[in-house]
Amino acid sequence: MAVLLGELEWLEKPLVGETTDPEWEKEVIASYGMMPAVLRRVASVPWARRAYFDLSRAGTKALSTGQSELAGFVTAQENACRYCYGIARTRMRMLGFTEEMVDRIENNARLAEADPEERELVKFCRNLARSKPRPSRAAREALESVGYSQLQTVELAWVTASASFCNRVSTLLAVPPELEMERSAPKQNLWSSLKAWLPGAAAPKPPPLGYPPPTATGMLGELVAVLQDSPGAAVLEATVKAAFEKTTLRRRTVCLMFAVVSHTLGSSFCAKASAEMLAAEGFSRSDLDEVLSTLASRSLDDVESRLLPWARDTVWLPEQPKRIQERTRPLQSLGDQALIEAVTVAALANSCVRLAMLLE
Amino acid sequence: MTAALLVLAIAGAIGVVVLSLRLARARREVQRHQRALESTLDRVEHIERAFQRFAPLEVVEQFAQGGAAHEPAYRQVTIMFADLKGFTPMSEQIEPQLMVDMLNGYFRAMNRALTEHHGHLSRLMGDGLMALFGAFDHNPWQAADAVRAALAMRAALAEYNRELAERRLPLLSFGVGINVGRAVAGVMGSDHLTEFTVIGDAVNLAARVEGLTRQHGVDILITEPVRAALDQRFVVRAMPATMVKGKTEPIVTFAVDSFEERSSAPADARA
Repeated sequence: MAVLLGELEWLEKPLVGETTDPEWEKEVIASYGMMPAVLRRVASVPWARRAYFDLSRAGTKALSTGQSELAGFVTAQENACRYCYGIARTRMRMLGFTEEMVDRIENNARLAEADPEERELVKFCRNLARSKPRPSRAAREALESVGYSQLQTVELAWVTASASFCNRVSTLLAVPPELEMERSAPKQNLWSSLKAWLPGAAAPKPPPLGYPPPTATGMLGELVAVLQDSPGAAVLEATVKAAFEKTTLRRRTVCLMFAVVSHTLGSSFCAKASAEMLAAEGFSRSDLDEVLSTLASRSLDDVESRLLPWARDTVWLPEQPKRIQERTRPLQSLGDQALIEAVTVAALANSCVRLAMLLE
Repeated sequence: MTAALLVLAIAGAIGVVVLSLRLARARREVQRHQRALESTLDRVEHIERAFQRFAPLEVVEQFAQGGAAHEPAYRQVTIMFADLKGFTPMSEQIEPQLMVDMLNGYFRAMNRALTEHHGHLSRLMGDGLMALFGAFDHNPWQAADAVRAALAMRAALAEYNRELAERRLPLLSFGVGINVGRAVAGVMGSDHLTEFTVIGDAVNLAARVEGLTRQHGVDILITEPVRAALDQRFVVRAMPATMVKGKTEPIVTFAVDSFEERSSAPADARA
């Protein structure tokens, strides 16, 4: 039940500036053949830009490209992310999908009712992105009953979670839609199809992600373990580690944001994991209880007092993205770096808690 | 031989032309059906979105898909009743159109304040309203949200009154009652009129507490379970325990004065 694209209200002025880093842009262009504006907006925070870039391209093992694209598309629609919606279309065209195929995938998201497999896929991804409430074990079983393997089900949850991450970062920072790119992206036509057969015309293969095999230990290790057979496992592990270790926010602030998002969505697994992390940081259980019951506490610092009620508001994005963007705007006073980090942490927490439905 | 080949070629060409025409017609037909389907889907989406204001998403989708009736269930809900004081006698002295304009402006302002604090405007009853917190989504902070919404409504009403004063119209005042408790949430009504709503003792008490605002001469009144869910940033005052209809014991209520962002007041300074 997504808002139609033309009706989305989007803040006109983005909440952070652009950073130009030639080396970074070279790496992105080598993979995407273009430089998405969002990766310029988050470029000043190395771990955050890496998280966005790698989560958006981690890929899957058991899903077809069509299934992945459909899942990503449905998620962007459900999250009402104007930026990602346009990018998804452009990216599919750059990957070699014809305009007709892109339209078909877009239509499939709406016309999937006709096919039981697609209907279950769309329903699962929508419900997981929405999480009102989070889908239960029965939702996974429904997917398996129409022929999806266990790994495919896990990867659908992964695609939804990673797309939700990108949707939140783009939305919360009010990254302007890439209208020019959407218009000028090469369209597949007879000439481009013929050209593809010419010697040397094949697109360069994007470089591999280059992560070591996941260890499935540490914070949210069990969640990584569920993804073990999927390329997303290593990306998730590295991203969670970076969010806790490389951020300039206090480590306990990150844990508290995870705790608030977990509590809002009622995830027992993530709530337990964040409580253990907070205990290790010396944050008492009684203070945590106070935070979770009131979203405030005298034990919080000023940044935490501002971030925690906002983190709660990032869980269910309003029908109109402009509302959460306006709610995020006062956080600009924290500075670009802290805002990018806060947004990335909130987006990651939301994705992990959604993904944790695989364990609960 | 050549003539036969020529005839065959002409027949073949005619066949191709006929087939092409039929194909083109079939394609146009498919496109027409596709456009009709898309237009219908657009309309269904618009309707679903409109209904999302009245019922939780899953209930709306269940209805849209022709599924079985939504299973009613107990939920922890915070219920707010708000009513304009003295509006009925006032409305008898105002032109009907003006009265409706005034009410619409009031409801718009109240709805903004409610939505901003995770509330849902559930029902309008004349010049009164019922709002719910936690009935549509899991909301661990529903009581605090409701009280902050009430404070935002107070500010919004003051703002609206400034506008009314400029237009030389009578000013409005309201009473708000809030209670939290378990209530049955579900789709109720007859074939002709159905709504998603909550029923139960907790709901009735919220309505009674709203009525007590006149007796206590305050605008926002909450019950003890609501107060227990608030932290020290909320400044409240205890009101005398009062009997209400349907209860055998007097009801303890608290008037809400303000919300102070980083209060250093100890918790026991409340009430």
